[in-house]
Amino acid sequence: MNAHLRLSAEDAWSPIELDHLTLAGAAHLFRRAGFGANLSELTAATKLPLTEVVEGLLTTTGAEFEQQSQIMKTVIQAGNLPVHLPAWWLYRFMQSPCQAWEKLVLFWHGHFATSAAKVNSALMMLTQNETIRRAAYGPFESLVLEISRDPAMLIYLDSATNRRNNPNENYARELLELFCLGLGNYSEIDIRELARAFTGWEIQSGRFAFNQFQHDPTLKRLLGNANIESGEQAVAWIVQQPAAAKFIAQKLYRFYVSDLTPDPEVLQSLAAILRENKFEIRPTLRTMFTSRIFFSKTAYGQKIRSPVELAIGLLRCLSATASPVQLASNLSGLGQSVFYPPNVKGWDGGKRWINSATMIGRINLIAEILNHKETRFVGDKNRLDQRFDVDDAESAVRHVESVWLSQPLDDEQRKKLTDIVDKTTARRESRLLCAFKSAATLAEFQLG
Amino acid sequence: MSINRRKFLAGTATAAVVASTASVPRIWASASHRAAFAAADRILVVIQLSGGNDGLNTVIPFGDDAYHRNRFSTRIDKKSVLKIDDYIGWHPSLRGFSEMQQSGNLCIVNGVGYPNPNRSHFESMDIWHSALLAPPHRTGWVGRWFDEQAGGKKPNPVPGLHIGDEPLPLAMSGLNIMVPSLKSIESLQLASDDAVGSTIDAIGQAPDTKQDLVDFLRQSRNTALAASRRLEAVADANEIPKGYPRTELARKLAFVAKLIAIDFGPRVYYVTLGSFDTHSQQSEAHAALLSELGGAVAAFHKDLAAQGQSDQVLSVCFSEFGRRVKENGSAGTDHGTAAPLFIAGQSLPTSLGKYPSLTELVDGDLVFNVDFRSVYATLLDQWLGIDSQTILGVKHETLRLIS
Amino acid sequence: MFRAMIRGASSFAFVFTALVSYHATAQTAADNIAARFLPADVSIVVSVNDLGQRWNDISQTALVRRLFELPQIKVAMADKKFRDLLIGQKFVEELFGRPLGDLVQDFTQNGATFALKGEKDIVLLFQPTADAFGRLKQTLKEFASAAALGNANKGKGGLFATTYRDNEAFGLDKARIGFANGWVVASSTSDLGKTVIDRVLGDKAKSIADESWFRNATELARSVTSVNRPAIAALLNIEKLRPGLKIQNDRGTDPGKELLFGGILEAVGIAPIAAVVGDINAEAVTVRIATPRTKANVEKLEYFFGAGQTASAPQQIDLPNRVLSARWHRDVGLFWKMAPQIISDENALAGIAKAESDISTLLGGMVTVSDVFEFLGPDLELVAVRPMRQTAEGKSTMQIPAFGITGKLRNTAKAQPALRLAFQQVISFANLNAGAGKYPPLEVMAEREADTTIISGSYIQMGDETMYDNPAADLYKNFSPTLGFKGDRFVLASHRDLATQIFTASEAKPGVANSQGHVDNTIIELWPAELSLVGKLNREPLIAQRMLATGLSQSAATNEVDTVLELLKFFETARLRLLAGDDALVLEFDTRLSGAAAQSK
Repeated sequence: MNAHLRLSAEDAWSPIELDHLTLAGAAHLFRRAGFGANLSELTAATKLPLTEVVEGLLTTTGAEFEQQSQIMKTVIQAGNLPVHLPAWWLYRFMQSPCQAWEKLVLFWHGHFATSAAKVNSALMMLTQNETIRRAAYGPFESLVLEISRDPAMLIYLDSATNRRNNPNENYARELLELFCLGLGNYSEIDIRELARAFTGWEIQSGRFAFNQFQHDPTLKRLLGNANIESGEQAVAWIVQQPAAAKFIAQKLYRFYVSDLTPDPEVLQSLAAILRENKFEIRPTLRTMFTSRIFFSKTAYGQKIRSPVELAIGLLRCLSATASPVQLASNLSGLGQSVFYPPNVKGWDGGKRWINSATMIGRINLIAEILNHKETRFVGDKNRLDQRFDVDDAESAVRHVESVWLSQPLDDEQRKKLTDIVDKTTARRESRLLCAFKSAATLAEFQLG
Repeated sequence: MSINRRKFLAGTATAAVVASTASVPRIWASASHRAAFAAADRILVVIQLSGGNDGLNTVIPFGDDAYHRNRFSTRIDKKSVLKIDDYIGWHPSLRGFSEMQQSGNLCIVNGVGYPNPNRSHFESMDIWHSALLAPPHRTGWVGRWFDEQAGGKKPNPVPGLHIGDEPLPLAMSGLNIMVPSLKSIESLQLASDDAVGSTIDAIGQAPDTKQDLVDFLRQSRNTALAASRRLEAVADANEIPKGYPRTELARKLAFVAKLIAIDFGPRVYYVTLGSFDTHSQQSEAHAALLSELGGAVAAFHKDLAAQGQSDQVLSVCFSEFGRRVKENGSAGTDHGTAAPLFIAGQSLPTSLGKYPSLTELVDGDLVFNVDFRSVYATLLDQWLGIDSQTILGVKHETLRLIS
Repeated sequence: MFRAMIRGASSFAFVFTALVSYHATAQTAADNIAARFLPADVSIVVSVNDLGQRWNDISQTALVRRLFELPQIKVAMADKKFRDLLIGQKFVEELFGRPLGDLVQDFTQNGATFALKGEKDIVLLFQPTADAFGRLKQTLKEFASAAALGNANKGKGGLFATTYRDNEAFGLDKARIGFANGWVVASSTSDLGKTVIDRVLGDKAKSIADESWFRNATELARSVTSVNRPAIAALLNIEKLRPGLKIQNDRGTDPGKELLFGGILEAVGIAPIAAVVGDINAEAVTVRIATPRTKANVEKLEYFFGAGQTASAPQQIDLPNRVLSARWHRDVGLFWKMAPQIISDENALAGIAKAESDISTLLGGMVTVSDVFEFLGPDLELVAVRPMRQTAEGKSTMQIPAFGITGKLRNTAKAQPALRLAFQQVISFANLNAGAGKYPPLEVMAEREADTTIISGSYIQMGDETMYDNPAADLYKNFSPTLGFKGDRFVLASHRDLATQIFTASEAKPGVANSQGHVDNTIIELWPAELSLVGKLNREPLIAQRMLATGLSQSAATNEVDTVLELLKFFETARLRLLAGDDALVLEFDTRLSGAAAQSK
């Protein structure tokens, strides 16, 4: 892990050679692949081989948890209360045993952005969420195909009214521009042709239905292929385009590795990895999370935490839970209301999370969560010091550094924070929370 | 704790913060250099009248028999209107607008609309917000400008601000920038927690690290904290100041005035008032809404004048459509088309555009004289100093708003 | 201060402090000998009776025992502050060699009286058993000498012994406690203690008992209770306290609040005195707050109290499985019409105008909200009963209690068609949504028999739930919206069966005055056991809502919900009523425990 060595495109994604993760490495991995973990979980991870830790993160089990989630789903559906959807998902982020899975679903939700504000059906939004969850790790083509038939998406991008004699190009345009290829990799004619291929993809009684009378059966010429008839063929052809792998590679990189512009060759080789893996997401993520670049300076601390990552990260670091309804409202103020992305492009992320209002809001959020009466800690809040072995102010500050900060504090900062924690609270058991609230005001706290 | 922070404001640390963040544009512009406002300093306040405002009962053609004929129970009689001329006059609840107009601070743009009017609230609102007559309505007319400037050399970190409970209006949405949506002034105040307060007091400006994200965050943090402090210094933030009526719109506009006073940064502020969807028993509800509108806007511009910023701000009030000429059977009115739009600011013409005819109707609706996109083009070109064509896609005719 | 007391009242900590600091005597403030010892210028006098005995009784009830078994309470008890309290209790118990309840009873066998003078000076006096009197004095003496020893070493203050007019007294900082003629007088300042002891020693000086406000308040307190020794009786000179109370007079800003509480808010705003009488025992808790009636703003409050100012809510209609019943005398039509005089806030008036327009739109425009309200007579009852479901549609995930409002019509001939039209409009509006695939459409059915008409909507069973966008959104299964008339009586109910039950039940009779000549203006009654049953029907949704609201795991949320549902069962009724008499207004809260809950071990 030589920080100054620039990794070549081939080396970037090659497996990092190390026996065990450092604590900082484990914290980084859990933050990026998931939302974060507490000190004991991180310490446990340093004692296992990296591949085993990554495999553990990428599992998809947890029947008992799904049953709990289902209870909440039932109520939200029964009342058709889309406004409760963000709380439901935040509950999952907070408590799911498969945090990397939830994180990936969040990635795809931002990618195939669909807003409950327009769809206005709790059931359809939940169905889409389940669809994405089921297909998240699998091949990209299936995901695109399922999304193209997803009722919420059909409504959100008006494809439900895409008729033979009056094609609606909205979905076709976004599929090419935002979901698969990116600007510059298709023409306006491709949009028109693709829209025709999707004609007749409708919703009947809230479910996808193919209406052959509204489908335009003539051949379409899409991206140089004149033999496309159906929507299925169109999707298969689009996903095969070299631009597709590059486009998804770039989005994965931005979500998991760094906010900063990557070396184009590094992206190219990630795209190649996607193709080698037949566009399957799980093996691609496995490669990414065990790669040299992932554990290099290119990645460490090079992401601004999203509001969800900020809040859920805090709770996971402390093994705490908070009121999902309250959290949903707070996060909406910070610009991230899940199930309600701002537009079809999803959340831009990175520096765009930050402005004067959200900066104040982020500092306040940490204090608000930790001071809120519904925030509960596994075991006893008054025993946090014992649980995490925090005895004085300095150990509290160092704890925050090891589980939260991607770069250690400098000595002066650490001293200042320690003094503040010392002065602000005389109670041993509240030092750790005090250290979090205090550190939250530092700019670096926002990095993850 | 807040005393500590105030003390800090007075102390030298602030000076250091101010000096080293000079590259952050608006926040630091000192009040004394405000004399003449270049286009780059001008501010636009958009006031959306949601639900479809009854234009005919806002600027009332009391001199027209057709008005009295069509508005049997919702009409305002000649004696009550605040006369503008022998033909039209203001609704009696709009004394605020009437007075502003007389002193050259309010302009009516008559008969604003667009071709093939859409009578659905949602669709017409999308058309107004996106400035596109046909879907997809992905971005807003102001949002596209935000996108544009975000890609520029010195992007404004907060080019626009929406104040209200509703989601960010489409008009303010760009694809590349997140404009904040604030419920109230409290969103810009730091939590009163000792740990937060004392750390902020103790840790000031940190040196640049030459790490892109760290430096960006440090600068953003300092900008935000400084703005928060300045806001704290302006006034007791949560009170509606004297001179404003005790209404929700007044509360929002008073907040805007405070943010403008501290040079918070946004060039466009957005607030909404509603619902104007008065299908039945319209009279009192409409009067109450107009009174809230006129009272708040007049107080806001008076406040700006007292701050010495009246020539820096233009407010524009629009609604997604007007209402039908003929009232319905429920002492109310249904969705219509063209309606007047109002612009408040300094040294404005009293009116622009022709008042639509009440007899030459299409489907019983007024015919628009001014395309709303011309109004946008005017605001962009003449007020904000932005090339309207890049934002609106085509060149629209502009009005003679600013001489 | 009063609000803080209420907040704390439920917690053990409060009871504990109350026991230790206030203590108990024998009569209401009315016959309180202690009143003759209090200076004339105190503004609050509180007397408490038999707290020790009551504590002993209550702490043995099944409810309290169950409360202490709750994990939440156990967690709270593990808190340091609480542990300190318990240590304090043990310490005191050991010091005097008596359990706390008995100890308190010893000290306050003749009641205890507490008074407030000015803004913060307080005095407490009580007459313990001779034995307790001596032991307390002795204990303080020992502490004082121990403190004096400590002082010699450290030079710091602490408990010290002193005398006043040859009576023993002790001081701690500015506070004093004196022993005279069998009375114990504790005060926050030395001067206040002295004036009281002067009177205890027989000095002739003007006392609170000579003040007319005190006599009036005493009379008022006596008029609202038949109990000889209520647990607590507080007499307040509101006129004097008002500047310090900072009662926020935001009257006239919120129409809903005004409609529900306008009469009470008015009374609080102008009453010169108030009396609070509270009683607690193992079976029930009752609190009554009384103020004299002033005849100001009679016209403005006609909608609330009626033209004669003592109009009564109707008597309860006897229905099975009631969860909640609220009865009022409230002239909504008059309120709506007079809103500009009643509501002072322009914002709120604008809100009313907007609501008028919006709701009238929903009603189709032919009938306005004002019309509807004008047709409603002032005797109203809102009732909620155990959920009823549409028979064939199955039960919904969330089962909402059936509810309805009933009363008498004014101008029946005009009212009936107008209300029917409005009802049809609302149904049509709902069916517009149904047409969009949101839920099944409503079919309207009219049933007529003699003078009874019932118009009800029932959801058409489409046989195929997959027809709807949200087949899981089944809340509608709770409803069968109904409008009914029987002569001049109307019912608007969420379910047809409730409407028929209301019509079949005995006719609602006009209210009658009680023995004091007071009538029920407002009476809201809750049946917690039935509420618990409704909660049980909705157990899963409640658990889910709790999970979403708190982030708790399913098992923790289940535990919370079950506990609340279980505790609810301990209560038989809970009732809040506003009684109006010619000369007084009384707000009464009372709750009764079920037999099982009150049972002691």
